[in-house]
Amino acid sequence: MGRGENIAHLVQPGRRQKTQQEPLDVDPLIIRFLRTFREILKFVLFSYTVLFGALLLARTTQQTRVSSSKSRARDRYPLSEPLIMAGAGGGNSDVQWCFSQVKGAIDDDVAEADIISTVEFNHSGELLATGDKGGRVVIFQQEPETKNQPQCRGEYNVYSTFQSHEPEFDYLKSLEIEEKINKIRWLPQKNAAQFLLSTNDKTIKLWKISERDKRPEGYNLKEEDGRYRDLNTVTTLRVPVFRPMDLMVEASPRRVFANAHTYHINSISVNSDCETYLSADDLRINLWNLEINDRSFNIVDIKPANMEELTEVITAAEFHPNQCNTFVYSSSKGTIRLCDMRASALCDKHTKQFEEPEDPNNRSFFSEIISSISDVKFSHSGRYMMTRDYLSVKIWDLNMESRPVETYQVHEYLRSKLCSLYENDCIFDKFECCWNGNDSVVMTGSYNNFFRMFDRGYRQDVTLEASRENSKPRSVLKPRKVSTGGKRKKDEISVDSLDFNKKILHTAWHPLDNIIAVATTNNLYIFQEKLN
Amino acid sequence: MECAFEAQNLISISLRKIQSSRTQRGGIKLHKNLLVTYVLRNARQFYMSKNVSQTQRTHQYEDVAAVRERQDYFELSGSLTELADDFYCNFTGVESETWHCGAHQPNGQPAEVAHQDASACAMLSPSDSDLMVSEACWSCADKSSWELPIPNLQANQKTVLDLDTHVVTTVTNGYFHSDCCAQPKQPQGAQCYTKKRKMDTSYHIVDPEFYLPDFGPVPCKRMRTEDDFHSDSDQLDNTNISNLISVLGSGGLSEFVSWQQTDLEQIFAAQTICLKHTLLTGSGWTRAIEAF
Repeated sequence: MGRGENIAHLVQPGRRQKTQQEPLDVDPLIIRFLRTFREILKFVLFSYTVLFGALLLARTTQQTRVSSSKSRARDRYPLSEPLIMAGAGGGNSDVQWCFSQVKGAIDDDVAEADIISTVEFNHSGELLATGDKGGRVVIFQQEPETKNQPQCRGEYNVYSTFQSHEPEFDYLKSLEIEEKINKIRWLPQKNAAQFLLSTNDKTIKLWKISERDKRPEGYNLKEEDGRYRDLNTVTTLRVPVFRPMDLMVEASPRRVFANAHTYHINSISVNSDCETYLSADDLRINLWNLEINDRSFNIVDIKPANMEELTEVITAAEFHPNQCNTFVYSSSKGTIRLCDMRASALCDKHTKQFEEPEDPNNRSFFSEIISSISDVKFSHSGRYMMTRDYLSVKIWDLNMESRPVETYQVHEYLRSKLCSLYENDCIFDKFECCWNGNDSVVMTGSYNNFFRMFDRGYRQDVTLEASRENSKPRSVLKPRKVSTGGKRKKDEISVDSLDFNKKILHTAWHPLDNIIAVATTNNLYIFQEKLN
Repeated sequence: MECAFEAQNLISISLRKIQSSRTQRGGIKLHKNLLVTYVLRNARQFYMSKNVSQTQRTHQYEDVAAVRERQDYFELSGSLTELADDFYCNFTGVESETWHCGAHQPNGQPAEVAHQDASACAMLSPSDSDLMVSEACWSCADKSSWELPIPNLQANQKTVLDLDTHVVTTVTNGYFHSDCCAQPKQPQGAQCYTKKRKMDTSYHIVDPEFYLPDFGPVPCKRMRTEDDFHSDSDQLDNTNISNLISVLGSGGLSEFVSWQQTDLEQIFAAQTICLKHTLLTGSGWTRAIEAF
């Protein structure tokens, strides 16, 4: 700007001249809108592409799994529905079981003391405990998964063995007390050590299993081998230090809970509060504190005033997995009673009674025996419970007392053979049952080393066999079938050729994975899910 | 439904199981024995219902002959349950007045009486456990139909063995009948007859090989004579009241379940030995309890 022209502006500031501003080089409004819209569109398209791509990816991977499972399912269960794979621990028909390990002696001559009487996984599934008739407890530990074989879950190897109970003699009654371990229950882990409760007919013991991999060395007063040093030779003082040593697993009895049961203890159950546990014998249930071993509370007593009026005994008892005030006990008459400890000190009066009316068509001499419940187990969720009587497995909803929600026949073909089973005492066998980790499948044992799994969701069942013949590593178990009708198909076994001495009474399912432990007479079989 | 023969078979098998459970390691299993008694009850119920419908007359003399035969055999475990039935009938107020020794007086009786009494039994004890009711009915039915030596059908009976004097007495509602006083005129406690063994026709068909070999053929207990029964209610033998140990209690199960109160094996074995001695020698019990 020149000197002269703008002076006028300066002198007369009042009036600013509105000069016509040069219009910007602007597009018309519509174009501007279109441009903004284009940006928005770009953004939207971009985000959709990303999402769509992710969706496609997920769907393709899922579809490949679905198609493979479909083909497998059709081969084995031609009439079943096509399935979609569920997560770990689910979908029975999708799961193929293969042999993993077998523990125990190979020879057919079974020593009575080696007969396995209980099997139990701990809460993480890392440890597997077995008890036998000789009073011994053997604990197996799962090896951590190796990098080179990520598909194969770790094997179970012996971790610790100890003699839990010894045979005793009751001098007052002149009766021998068997050392057979009736039940083992693990306590939830609180520190580095593991705790378990083991019981025989009369006494419960709390065992601590701890590892020792360091040893103090350099004592001032003792030599390394334990001998005391001559004090004259001690000239300097040193602080003992821990040095590594070979891993040693020690089992030590921390508590002994004795003299509280007149009759034979049949079950123990740890409460969810981790402070108390119950022990049940034929007529009474006692509540213990894990820390106090000289006192227990009696919470259920069904002994009649007159023993001649005895009509039923307690066969199993368990605490609810979540509610620390609730427990159930089953009876020999086929009823299950649920009790709430808040209601009264003595829970003789049950809160709920679960009973299914007997089918009058099936009445026989043995009706009472086959309706006697041998095991009761809560589901992990706590909503359901499962009971095992001689011929069937029943699943009860805790909210419905009148009848079970599901009933599965384990070996109905034995109903016509009850008389001979009574003669050879097999009718008194107490089978146990177990849930899988997510409560979708239940498992129980049968004769001829067969065991059965029932998938609750897909309404399917399978019979498998634990035998040395199928013991090749990672060989898939073939489903077995017992022929009930006249015609026996190939690969089927007739009822008369079943071996009733080979029975599977005790089974356990890993709480998180599809790993099962099945106990035959003196061998422990471990089966795993077949992984691709 | 299984045939009658199978019922008998089951009865014999059950009794054998009960017997063998006593010698098992680990003590008597309450649960298993309870289940076995249920089978026993069912089989007996079935068998009884079959027998009641038949005419008894044809069996009458057969029974006597069979009884005589059986006198040489004494099946311990069979007798336990039977003894329990003998002495237990857990209903009130019914007194049997028709105690006869069937071996001596075989009388015929119409079958209708059996039915009547059976129903009476059933009615009178509605509140009892099924187990006991059936035994009661069975006892009643047998009694009235065959006029056989009948168990004491009074309420709440207990049979007790006094280990000091070896007198077996039957306690009924507060009175004590001394079974072992042979005649009212000879009230010596030492003269001891064993408990009367109830004649059970339903058992006479049972194969003798089910009698346990360990005990061998043990003579049957002496039958109570008629006199004993009639004088029973007045017999109060106070000397036998003291030191009474209840052996069988008053029910079918007590012998299986009362071991925590009594040393069952010892007492039963003692009883067996005592029975043997008594019957063989006929001169009273020996004090030696050899069983244990």
